[in-house]
Amino acid sequence: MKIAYSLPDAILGNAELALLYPGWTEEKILAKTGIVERHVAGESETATDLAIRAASKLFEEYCVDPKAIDFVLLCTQSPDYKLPSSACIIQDKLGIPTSAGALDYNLGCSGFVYGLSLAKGLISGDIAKSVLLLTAETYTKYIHPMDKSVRTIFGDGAAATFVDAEVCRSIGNFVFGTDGSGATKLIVKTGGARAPFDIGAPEEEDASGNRRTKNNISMSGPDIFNFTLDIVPKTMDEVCARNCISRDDIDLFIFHQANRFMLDTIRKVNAIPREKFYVDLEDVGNTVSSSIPIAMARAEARGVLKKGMKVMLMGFGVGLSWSATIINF
Amino acid sequence: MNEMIEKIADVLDQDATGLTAETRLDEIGWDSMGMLSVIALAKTNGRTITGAQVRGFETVGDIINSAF
Repeated sequence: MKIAYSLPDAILGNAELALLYPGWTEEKILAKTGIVERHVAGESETATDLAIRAASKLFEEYCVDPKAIDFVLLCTQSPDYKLPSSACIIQDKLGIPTSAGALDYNLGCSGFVYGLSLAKGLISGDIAKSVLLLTAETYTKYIHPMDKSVRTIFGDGAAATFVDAEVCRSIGNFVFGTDGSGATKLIVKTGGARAPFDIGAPEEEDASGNRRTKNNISMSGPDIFNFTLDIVPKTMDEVCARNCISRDDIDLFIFHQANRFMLDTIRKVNAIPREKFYVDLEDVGNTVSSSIPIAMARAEARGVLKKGMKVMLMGFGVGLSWSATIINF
Repeated sequence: MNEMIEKIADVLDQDATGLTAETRLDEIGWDSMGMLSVIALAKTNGRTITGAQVRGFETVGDIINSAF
């Protein structure tokens, strides 16, 4: 699988955060989140820009001809505009033929695996031959600077994955899930049709001292955590059953890189051997829909992810939404 | 009781000495990370603490009553 990724140059480290949040030392932030630094998009740098850079890297590193791309999928919750789709802008900027299809889809942490399913469907249905799957996010632009519950976790980034018929043959069956009753557990309340951006929105402070307005990301960590602990074991069983494989036959588990505490808990609760459970977010943070492809690219570069391995991919989070599949890398 | 307090102290990165069921959480640095730690502790004991519940905790005793 050909994957490239792009991160903004600017970095937000734990030392800087510890100065802002009394009682939260650098060490505490690292111990609980597993994150030392996260990349932060500049003021004029958007998710679309990051996606274009990731795609350009993909084209160069893997000798993929942009003229061969016949479908662009962009997963983002940070589009350049309400309209048009950012995927249309990306088609133009990358020199992809105007005969290509292109669309945005709005998902977060589950987005990459959903994207693989969409790409597989397009190719299996003989609708497209070469899909450029992009995930790109700039959550930091939605985060209040004094909300440590999310500012310590999220980082910006993008990934580009090339999917053709050969790649499709390596992608197994999928499991999806949706629970919209949890929509408010991770949300930006304004800026959409339901409620416009409110420039005068008052700041509110929660019981933990985190400040935000309704224009900012609001995340209920405990509820997201409980949701994850509930759905991960069931989804693991279901995706194994759908792929006629046992957990023991999985060589590597690459899950959404939410934060180290959550991943450690998932690993322990599900008795996944440490050496099979890939955790890699220390210097990128939680990059939302890009976390799985970035982890895959880095795992391959480090020699942890090797050709022929059976890999379980699982994304879970905002929506609430989840998805899983097994690939033969 | 002592064993439960030891476990709570451990997940909250606190010294167990001096912790009692009456200890107020806001006096020992209770925060969002502490909430997740307590939820995880409950899970290992086969119990579930919801977000609404954990946000209402005020004392170590509240954790004891829900996590064990």
